[in-house]
Amino acid sequence: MNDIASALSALYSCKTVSGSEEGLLDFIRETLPEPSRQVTRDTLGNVTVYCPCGKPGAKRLLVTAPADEFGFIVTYIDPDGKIRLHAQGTGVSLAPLYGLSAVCGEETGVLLSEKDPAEAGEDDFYLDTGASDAGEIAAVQGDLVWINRPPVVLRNDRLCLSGMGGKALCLCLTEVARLAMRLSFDVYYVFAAQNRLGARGAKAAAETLRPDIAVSLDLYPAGDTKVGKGPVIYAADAAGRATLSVVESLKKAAESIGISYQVSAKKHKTVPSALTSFAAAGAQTGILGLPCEKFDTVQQISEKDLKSMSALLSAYLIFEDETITGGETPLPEKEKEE
Amino acid sequence: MNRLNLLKALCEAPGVSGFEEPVLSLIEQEIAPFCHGLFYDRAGNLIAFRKGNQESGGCVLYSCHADEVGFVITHIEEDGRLRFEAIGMDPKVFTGRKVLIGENKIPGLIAVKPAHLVKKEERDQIPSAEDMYIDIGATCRREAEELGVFAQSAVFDSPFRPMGGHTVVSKALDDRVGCFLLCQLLMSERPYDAWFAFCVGEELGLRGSPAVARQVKPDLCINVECTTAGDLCGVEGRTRTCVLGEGAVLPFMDGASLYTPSLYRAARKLAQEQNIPVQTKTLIAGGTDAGAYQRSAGCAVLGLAVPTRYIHSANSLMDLRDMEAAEKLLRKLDERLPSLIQLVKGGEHHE
Repeated sequence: MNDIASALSALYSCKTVSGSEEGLLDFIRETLPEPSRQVTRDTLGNVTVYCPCGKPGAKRLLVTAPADEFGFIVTYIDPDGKIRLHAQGTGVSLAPLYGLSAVCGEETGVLLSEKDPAEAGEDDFYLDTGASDAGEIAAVQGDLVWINRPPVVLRNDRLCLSGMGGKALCLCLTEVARLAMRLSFDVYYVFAAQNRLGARGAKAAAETLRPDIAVSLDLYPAGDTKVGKGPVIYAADAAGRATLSVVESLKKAAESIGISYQVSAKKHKTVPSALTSFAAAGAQTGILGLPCEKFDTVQQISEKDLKSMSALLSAYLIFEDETITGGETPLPEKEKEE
Repeated sequence: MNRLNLLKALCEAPGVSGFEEPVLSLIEQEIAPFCHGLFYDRAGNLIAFRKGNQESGGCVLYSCHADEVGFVITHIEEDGRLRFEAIGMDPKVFTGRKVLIGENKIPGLIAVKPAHLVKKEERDQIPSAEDMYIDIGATCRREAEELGVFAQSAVFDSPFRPMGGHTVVSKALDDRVGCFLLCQLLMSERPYDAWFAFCVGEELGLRGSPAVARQVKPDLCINVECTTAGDLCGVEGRTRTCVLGEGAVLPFMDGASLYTPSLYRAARKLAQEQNIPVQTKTLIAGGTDAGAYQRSAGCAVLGLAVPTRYIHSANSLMDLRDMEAAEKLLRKLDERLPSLIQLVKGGEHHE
């Protein structure tokens, strides 16, 4: 993840409002071109990179990151041409969206509301394209609206995700998947669809893949944790407690490679959770969080934390592998040559 | 049974969430001669399989829910009056209503304080369900106990009746209309294999459908429901959500599901080609079992609904023409299952 800015920009360009994550498939195909990994997309929209270990009956480890971002869905076209919207996703403050440009298919417009932006609710926004009549509008009910808010690189290691949210963690998954580690278990990297609508994609993945271990990655509000102090190993989320042994493994993995990490048990209700679905599928569960300031607006994170998250995830997979095999995990061929 | 008589029987049968057995028995009786497989799962869902004579290319599930909103008797007071828990309703809608309790349909009345006794400060307040009780005319606890009402369900005493225009009024249109449409489809001549699920516990939060999803593992689910029509007096524009008399409803999203966009578009196109009146919902509200199927089975989902006013109350109102539009569209979709399956399984999948 050497050039985070350009990677984030490429990811941002995928336009993956909840329910329309198909753009991510091309991004992943370009990032992971090797045919040895199976890349599939299910009917819900999850993109899964499957890295088999080649051993029948091997354990299954699932890692998820959100594939979607906040946006709107068209609910109605007013006779005067206003495109009425419903907010697609939670955890975002709506007032700062007032006046931003947005795109709906062929339509480009500005997000407005008749109400005071500070009081506007999830059904109070509309897209003004300048049309004066519904007949001018090509958009239809059910179309998705993407907000024009590119990420911003600041000084001192800081990045503003500007609404990309947990989608930024897709970079961690592609980074780790690219390493092509030869492990003694199957790994499924799931870029989970409709995460902002209640972790729907992750829940479906848990049910269909039935993993032995499931680790979820997402963005979490800082407060009890600090931006720049490392990824957060959560002992619990809004839906329940993570598995203690996985929490301990994550800590040991971080310590083994000498990266800073934080620990928290704070239950953030604004962050969707698939924990109960993972547990219902019989999986042990882990939760990794990227701390974020101004979580509901500009979403400021640390570039170093993002890189450390990838490193921690890789180290954890190796740690689990060594726990199962009792030995050293062979390094990928590329690293050996170097 | 005659069509409307079946709808009437389904609506009038008791079937509060957790107590669905009477209505499921009625459905079982109607559909059994047409099924190649019929069973109750451990959750209590009634699941049927009707074989066709052609392959559709995938596993298709038609789903509806058999339960209705209602009450459960939780306590008998010393003076014979009954305390209850309400399922799926706002207390405003059931004050002063007649109910029928348990297998023996003991009549009762949800008591409301007469206006003469209401204090000034109480006038603008709606009592909570905890403060209400059902009066069955018993004078003491023993008398009520002997009637066997404790821990029984209670349904509204609201018979099915035709009304003005093409409308009908009844309790439990949500979702006995769905049950009716699925019965009609299952009992007709149809080409392709399909599963039919009459789910329990939907009004308690989509309780029964996840079990169906895990057993049937569908590729495609078409969920048939009633949906709230907000075309009330004084409500205009998009806040009407959907409108009685303007056709069947094809929702693109609700609180529990984002319906598979390709299926939604295909269904709309089919309706237009076949001149079947359809509309969509203009407000995102409510949720259906489709959400559970998406999450539990990862399957593609399509919603089809009949607009209904005043759902989750003692009496709901529906236009029969909307139900007929939904039935016609359902049959047309059923004839095209292979192309719907191809839509779902084909496209951007699998490298």
